[in-house]
Amino acid sequence: MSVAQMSPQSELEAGSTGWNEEQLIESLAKNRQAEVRFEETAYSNLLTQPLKTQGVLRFTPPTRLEKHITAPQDERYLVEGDTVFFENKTKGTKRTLSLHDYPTLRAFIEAFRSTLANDVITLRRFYSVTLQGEPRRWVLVLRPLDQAVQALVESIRFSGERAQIRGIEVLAPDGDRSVMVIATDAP
Amino acid sequence: MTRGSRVILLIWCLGLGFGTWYATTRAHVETELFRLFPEGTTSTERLLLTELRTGTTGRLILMALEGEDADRLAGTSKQLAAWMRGSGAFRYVGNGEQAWTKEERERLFQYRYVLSPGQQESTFSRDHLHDSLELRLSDLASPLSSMVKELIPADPTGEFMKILQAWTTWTTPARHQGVWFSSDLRRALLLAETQAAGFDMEAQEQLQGKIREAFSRAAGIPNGSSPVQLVMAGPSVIAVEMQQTIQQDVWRLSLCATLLVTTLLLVSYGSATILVLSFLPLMSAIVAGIAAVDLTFGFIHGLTLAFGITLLGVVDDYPIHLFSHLTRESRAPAVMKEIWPTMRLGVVATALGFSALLLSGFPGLSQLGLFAMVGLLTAACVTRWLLPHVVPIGFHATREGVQLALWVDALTRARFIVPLMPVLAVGSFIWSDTPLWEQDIANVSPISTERKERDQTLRNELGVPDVRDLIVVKGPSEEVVLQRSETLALALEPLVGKGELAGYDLAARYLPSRRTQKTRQASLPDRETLERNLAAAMKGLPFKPALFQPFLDATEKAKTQEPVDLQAFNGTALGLKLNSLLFRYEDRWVAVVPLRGVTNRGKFGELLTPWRDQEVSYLDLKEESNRMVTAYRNETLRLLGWGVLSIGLVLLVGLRAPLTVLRVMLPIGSAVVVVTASLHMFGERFSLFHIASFLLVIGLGLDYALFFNRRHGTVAERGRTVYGLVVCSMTTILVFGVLALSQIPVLRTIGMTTALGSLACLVFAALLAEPPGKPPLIEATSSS
Repeated sequence: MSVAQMSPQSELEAGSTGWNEEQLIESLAKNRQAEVRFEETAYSNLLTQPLKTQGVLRFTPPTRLEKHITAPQDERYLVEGDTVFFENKTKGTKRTLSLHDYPTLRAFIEAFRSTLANDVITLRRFYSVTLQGEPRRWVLVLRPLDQAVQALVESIRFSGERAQIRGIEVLAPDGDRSVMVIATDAP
Repeated sequence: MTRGSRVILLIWCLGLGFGTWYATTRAHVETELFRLFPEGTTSTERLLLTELRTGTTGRLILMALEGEDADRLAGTSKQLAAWMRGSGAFRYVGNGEQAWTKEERERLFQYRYVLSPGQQESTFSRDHLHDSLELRLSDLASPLSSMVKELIPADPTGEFMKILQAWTTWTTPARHQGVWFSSDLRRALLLAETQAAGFDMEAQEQLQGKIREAFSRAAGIPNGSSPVQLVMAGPSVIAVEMQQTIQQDVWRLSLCATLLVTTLLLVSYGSATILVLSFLPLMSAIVAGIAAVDLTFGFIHGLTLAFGITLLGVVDDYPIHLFSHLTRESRAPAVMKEIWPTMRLGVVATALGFSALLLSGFPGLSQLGLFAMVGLLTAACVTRWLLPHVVPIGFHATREGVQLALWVDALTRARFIVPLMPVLAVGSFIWSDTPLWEQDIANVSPISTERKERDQTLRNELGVPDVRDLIVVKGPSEEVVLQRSETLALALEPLVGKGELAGYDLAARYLPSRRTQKTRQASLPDRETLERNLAAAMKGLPFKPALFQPFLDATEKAKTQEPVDLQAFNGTALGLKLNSLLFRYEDRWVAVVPLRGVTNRGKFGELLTPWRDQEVSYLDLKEESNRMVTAYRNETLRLLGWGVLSIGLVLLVGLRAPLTVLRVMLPIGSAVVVVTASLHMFGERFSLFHIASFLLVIGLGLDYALFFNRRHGTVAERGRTVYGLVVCSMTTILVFGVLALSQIPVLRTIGMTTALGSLACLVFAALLAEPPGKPPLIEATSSS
């Protein structure tokens, strides 16, 4: 399910109940699975139709995050600490780069990594964080603080139910977006 | 003091005053090693020397920060690098930040169709375009899409990325917080290229001091103890440290030697005045030597100075002879007149021996020859004409040395030892496995193993290997050299594939020749063809119809673009790199191709032999510099031979008796052979420094042997001569014995060789001395 489908009526401001983003992120971390399957759809204004990919996301605290795309091509993106390693088995390419050479990529990755690692402090260094909805059905909106990142990412929206993330949507300022749906069952 | 002697004193004071003023204010002391070498006979040799003198290799400073956690080290690295970039003293400062500037990226992007190594006609065929577009689709589906998508409309074939990938031949270090680190994140790494040439020791020393200051500010050392440490390496850093170590060592050892010699002279003569006077000839000699060399050559080399002063050690014997011969009854001028013929013969012979060096084609040796010769003659003149007039009247040596003379005379019964020892020595040579000559200049260098290792570690971590092998490509123009380099690259590529070569850097990789650029331009299709191919390639792919308009425009524009030349990269980091790889030299263009990991040098050299016609030559820098040093050594040896021959001739003329010449020369010859053999037995391999020391030993030996064979009227007179000789020899052995304790191999070599040589000369000369009771052999006393 995607955030876009969520009804505006459910978007109640949190806080009255004492429920806030710290609590949510903590509960997400507690309830986190080592591995989830996903399906992603990328809408680009360079293209006439969206691109679909699917694969597995893995997170090993505190800093190891892996996105393994299994279809249509086998591609692996592995972030560990400061290093990003990527490999395309179909094309036979491998590359390593440092997140510090690509500050925008760092910001982008921290959106996922800090959220999953229950590291609100790091998350707030890169993003303004707002929580919408209620514990049963919520949306966590991250807006980049850095201008260079703002040029590439307008916002990142995590949506979910209770302590489960169901979808992640990335919006670019030029209207491009990618929508990731996380499978409910374990792979 | 007579009128005449006052005039002499005045002349000497004026001379010394002027000389000292000249030597301290006007004389130009050079420390650059390669100033000692001749200009080089071939253009390649000259180029090599220039490269070593001023090239990038010598300008590199490698740095590491350690002792703290990685975050703090990264911060310190950034601050230090910022200071260095702002200081204007560096051509390049790398610490991992700033890979490519925006301006550089734009320039590369603009020229992508002539610079991209992968670009050819087929790139724009329907099938290739289709494959490229599929790759771009997967880029768009990747997490990195937001970063690459803006390049896609103008560069769907990915030429820009191909350029960047082809150019990163250099495995950069690991990073943390954007800064280079060793792989264990314990050391932050920096690399800098100085504006000042590597040999400019003064500038380098200052600069290194400033780096250290900036580092302590960045590390916050002044306000509280910070455990961060700065480690520096690189040729100029090593050179500066080496110079400091040598200076410290020399200072410490000279102090020690001076104390010892002072004590010895005080004990021997019991007079402070005599002690001061005994230093006058040496001082005058040094001043005169510096002035003469600087006036003749325009500069004096630091090594000439060091070796020259060493060679002048012999002149310290002259005043000692004079003082030893003074008695209660005698007057100094008369005594001087008496011993002068013997001393004169020694001075002339030694000076002639050293003068052989003057003929050498090597500026270093010529300087040394001139310095030693002028110094010797000056010291002799000062001893002859000045000292006798300033010696306190009534001074005489308190010890007469008669007993000493008797012992020496007893020694002569064992004279058979003198010819026997060399025979034994030669035997030990024959049985020895140790190579006679030091073939590797690196082993002679005073750099400690620890420093070499530190340098090596940093080089490995930073990925800047010490360039030992390179190829030089020459031609009449930039274009010809680039074309030749491109052809060469085609031959080198397979070697890289086979692992015979780890890699190479080439100007033509960054700046293709006009010919190649034109070929690439010609391979660009016209707009209609490209539109047709693109349309076909886009079939079945979800790209928007007019998306690639910028691509069509860019290729059309690239077809008529002016080719890129060296100017296009001016003022960029790449421009700096190109300037070190491709430059004008002596009205020709030269490309230098540094090689990494040559596995088999002999084979590699053979492989490149046929390329000579194309002005492509392979150089092994280590081999090349060793060859030059060997040539230097052989030249010195040859001149030493001529020197010895001329000494023999002078002695023959002066002594007029071949047998006496033999008596004088044999102890020296035996001493040299025996000392050589003993050093060899202890595993020493011989270098230029040994030969220079032997020159001094020959000078000393001549002095000893001539005085031992001097005619002595009475037993007392002979006693004084022997006493003087023993004091002479002991001062030499003390000074050089102390030097032998140095940690610096070169100083140790000189010290050990000379101390042993002096001792052997004294003993052998004594053994062969004319026995008492026979007619004197040297009868020149009254002829002066």
